[in-house]
Amino acid sequence: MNAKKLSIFFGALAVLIVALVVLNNMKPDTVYGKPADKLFPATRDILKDPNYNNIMLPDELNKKIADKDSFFVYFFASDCPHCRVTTPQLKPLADDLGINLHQFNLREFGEYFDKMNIEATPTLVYFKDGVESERMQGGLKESETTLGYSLDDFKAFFEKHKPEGNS
Amino acid sequence: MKAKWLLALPAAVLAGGILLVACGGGGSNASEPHRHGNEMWEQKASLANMPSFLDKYSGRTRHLYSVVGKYEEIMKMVNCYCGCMKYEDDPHGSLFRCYVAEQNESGVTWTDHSGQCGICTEELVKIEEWTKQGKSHDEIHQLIEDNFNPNA
Repeated sequence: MNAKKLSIFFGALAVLIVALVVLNNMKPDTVYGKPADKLFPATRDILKDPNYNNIMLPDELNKKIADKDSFFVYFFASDCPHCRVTTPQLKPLADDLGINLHQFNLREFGEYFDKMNIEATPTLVYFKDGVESERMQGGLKESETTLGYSLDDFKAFFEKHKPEGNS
Repeated sequence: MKAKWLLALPAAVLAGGILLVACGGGGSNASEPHRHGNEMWEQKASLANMPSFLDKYSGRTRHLYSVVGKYEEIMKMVNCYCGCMKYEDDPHGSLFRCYVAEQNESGVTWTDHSGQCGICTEELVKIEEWTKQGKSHDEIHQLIEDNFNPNA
């Protein structure tokens, strides 16, 4: 007679587990086209950061290249220390200048390092008619002794290419 | 007697469920590329054996990983100024750590950290250049400080 009670208990437990497994597989996708628990921790950290509100996925990049669009792409990695310093200044600058700055996260789509020949993050690339025309490799300069660019250098890059297309 | 059978089915489902959840992560194999925090790690027998994750990167990056064994000693002496030495979790101890996460009797564990890292790769480019110019380890150590330390 105890076995009957036990079976009810186990039955309820089993239903609960099945429900959990089902729910687990129903998690909504993030802007990266996959659920948050499939992302790297550093990417999860920036999901709600307004400085990363223009994420570009590989399909979109490939389509724009195929369509011969002219556009800016900021290749970054969510765990890259220099990107963390650079993005919070670069994104507002792009917004102020009316630049549609597409943001491509190489931590999540690593095969694009080779495909786009990116040697380091961040790298800002301008595509003219679907072909790369110029790039700036590196982030904001930390001091006079180190590699990198000033915010004015980035501004000049944006202003130089914006008239050629900014889709 | 009947109640016992009633018990069997839910118990089996329960056991199956636990097994599913427990094995959901898949068997992890250190010699396959696998996640470790924000890095991908991959174990190989020695510094002469390149990790498969390198396929994703440019030729320059692949070359730099291939010379880590050659410059191991000096890479362990110099700091990396990409910011990784200030990580709250598992800060890097030297430039070597930007390429190799672990090194022990069972082999070396490569990390893909330097795949994206401009400073990590640029420092090694310079180490290779300065070594070829015949500079000593102490000279190279000083040059890294002069050229990469933002507070120098």
